[in-house]
Amino acid sequence: MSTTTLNHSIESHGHEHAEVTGWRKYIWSLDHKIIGLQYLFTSLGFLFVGGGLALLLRWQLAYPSTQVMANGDVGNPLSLPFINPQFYNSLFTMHATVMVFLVVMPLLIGAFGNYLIPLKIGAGDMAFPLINELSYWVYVFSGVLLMGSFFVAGGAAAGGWTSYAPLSSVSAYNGTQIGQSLWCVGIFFNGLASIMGAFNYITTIVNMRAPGMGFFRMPLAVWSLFITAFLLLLAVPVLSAAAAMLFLDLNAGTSFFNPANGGQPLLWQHLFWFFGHPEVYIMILPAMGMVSDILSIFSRKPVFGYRAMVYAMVAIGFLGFIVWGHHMFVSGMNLVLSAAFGVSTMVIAVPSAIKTFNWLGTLWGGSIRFTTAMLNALAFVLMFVIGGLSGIFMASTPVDIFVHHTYFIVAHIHYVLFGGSIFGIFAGIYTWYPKMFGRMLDENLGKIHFGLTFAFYNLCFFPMHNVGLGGMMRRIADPTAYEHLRALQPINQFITIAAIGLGFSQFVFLWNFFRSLRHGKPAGKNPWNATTLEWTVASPPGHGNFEVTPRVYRGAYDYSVPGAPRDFIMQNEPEPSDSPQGKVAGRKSVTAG
Amino acid sequence: MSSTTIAATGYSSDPLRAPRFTLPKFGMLVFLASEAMLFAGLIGGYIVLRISQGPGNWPPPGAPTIGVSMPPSFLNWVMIANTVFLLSSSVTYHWGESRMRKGGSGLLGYGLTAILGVIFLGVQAWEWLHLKEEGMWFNSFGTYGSCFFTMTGFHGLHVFLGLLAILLAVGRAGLRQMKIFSGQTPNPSHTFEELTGYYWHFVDVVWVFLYSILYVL
Repeated sequence: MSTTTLNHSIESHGHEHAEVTGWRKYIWSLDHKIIGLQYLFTSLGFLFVGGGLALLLRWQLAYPSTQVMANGDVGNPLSLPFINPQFYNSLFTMHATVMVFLVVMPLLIGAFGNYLIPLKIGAGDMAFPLINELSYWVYVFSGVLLMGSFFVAGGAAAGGWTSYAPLSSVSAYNGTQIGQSLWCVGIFFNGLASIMGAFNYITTIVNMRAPGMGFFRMPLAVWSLFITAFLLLLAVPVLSAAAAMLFLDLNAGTSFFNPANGGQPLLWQHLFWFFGHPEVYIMILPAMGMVSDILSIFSRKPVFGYRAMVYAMVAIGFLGFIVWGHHMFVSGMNLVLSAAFGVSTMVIAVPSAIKTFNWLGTLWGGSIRFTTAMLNALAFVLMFVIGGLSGIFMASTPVDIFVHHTYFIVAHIHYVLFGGSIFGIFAGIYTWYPKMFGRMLDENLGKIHFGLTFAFYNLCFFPMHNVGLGGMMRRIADPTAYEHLRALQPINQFITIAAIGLGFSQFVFLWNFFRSLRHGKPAGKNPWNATTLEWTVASPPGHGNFEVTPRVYRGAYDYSVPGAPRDFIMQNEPEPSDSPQGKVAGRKSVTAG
Repeated sequence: MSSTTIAATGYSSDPLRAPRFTLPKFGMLVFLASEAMLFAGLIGGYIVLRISQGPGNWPPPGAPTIGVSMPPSFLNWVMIANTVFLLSSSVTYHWGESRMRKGGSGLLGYGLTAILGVIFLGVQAWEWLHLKEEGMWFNSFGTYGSCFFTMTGFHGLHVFLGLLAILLAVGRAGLRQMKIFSGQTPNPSHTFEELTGYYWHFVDVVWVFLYSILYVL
């Protein structure tokens, strides 16, 4: 690599920290890569916890323990008798809480954000390594609080992950004063961890880019995490304020959400969704950014419309703050206001479509490599489109009023959150695992994992559209208790079987993940022939990442440049002075053999 | 990689242009944006709850008068004075910082700030207890009590954390003063004092908003 030595740091801020070795590094290390891996392992662990909760609640829906059989017995012979309706409420509440706050956010932002940002912008570490490590431990603490709430009197929070007041704010209604209070405290600390990460990332990206790494030379993964950090920074504290109010309502006798004393239950919904809608983009933007990079790498082509991609993400981030009311169409909202929220929501379809078409444009005419990473990235695009289209249904008030409290919305959220974020996360893991651990994941096992996941995922979540339109309500413990849902019960059992298949397919991933740590093919510096800075250093990179500060000469996507000796030019390679091809000509390249 | 230590240095893409803010100062400003949204959430909730009570019901009948009345009550004067104390603490802090930048210790400025901060918290505690004696608490007078105690409580917690930082700054200034007395050069790093200053001024500005909506408007 022709790295020009340009070490002109203007001032040192005294953040020097020594490398911590051995097992201690997994507790005390301030290295962003170790913290990223801590986030990765912890949140993958929580992924299995959240998945386990999902399987339990799916089992109850297929074989309800409360069902009255034809012979008069209570309980289906296949049912799990310990799942009573209150526990069922805890199950779906905590499934969503775990998946949102302890799995998808920490995976995308904690794991990939930490690992990739400094490496991709050419920095030695994050701006504030100590706060970075602190943020991880605060996250772990929030996870302990939320998990611990299963073991308190009354069990874990049971008011849904949205914790709508007054269901959540009156203990006589939610049945678990302590569980709901612990939920508030857990969410508060989880938010603290997110905020610590967010201002750290923003400071790092603004101030610590390597020389030559202009904002518009940053890979889209970094752009997406940058925009996400702003969303976290401004949205999460509002949830923290709301969680504090809810906690006080439960424990100090305040009446913020208690209508009997002049409180406003709707205030909770507004505060929650003011956070909750940016949260939707917090959980999808980083996946979008990573997928953009991955599609480019494996179709050997520059990202189509790089600047449009950046502006589309900025637009999504901004619009995300002014559409929260579309979650509340069924709250009795003024129709004029709901129309305004509906229109602003549909406007988001524009930047989303720009991104989708640009992904297709990136693929168009490329020499596509169907690696496991690429397959997952392609699945992301496909599933995100389905999830996005079903989202349009909900943006339209009259349709939303019909489907809002049904499984249609459950199908929608899983198409964007599993089909989008989780496939994006898998694509990211398959792409950057070689960088993180120095060894390749097994491609065959990877493809088996992808095929099983993709098939079972669709078998599990697509029929939810059907049961939703068939009138099945969300958050009911026993569909057989309702006359109009009995005909849907076979579909519910089918969904449950598919969900079990989906869950067990992940053990292929686990096996591949842990086996490859020791037995994978050595990866080398740049197994994918990619262009960005993390591929210029060893796998895994050493402490401090770069021996000399890299200098950046070009954008992140110089694939298949005509006249270039290889089909990729790394960001730190200087412009060859004797090349007949100028920079402008290089940008126009689209195809390669 | 053989290096065992790394320096997280801020480098801009233009080596000749010094960054306007050091990393910690930049990070603190970004963090304060988040803090601002925390109070924006609380204030937004307050506005909704207050307006939904309808005109004439805020404060609710029978609640102790917190708002400034004409002529001002004793409690009014106390809180006006307390506001002046907190605002002047920003001035004394700034004075301490500028003394420090000119090579002094800033001990007097930081010390006065700490004293004013303690007075503010003390008066606020007195006000809380006074209101509690009159029957107003988190759980009384509906959302009126909820909002007042939660918002001043959140702010008081921030003042308390800021005060801890200022006490540290006083300690650092004391060490600096001792070095100056013994003819040594004081510690040239002012980052801690600058960060504390940002935070303290922010907490003051939040109080201006809280005082306006809770006591005046």
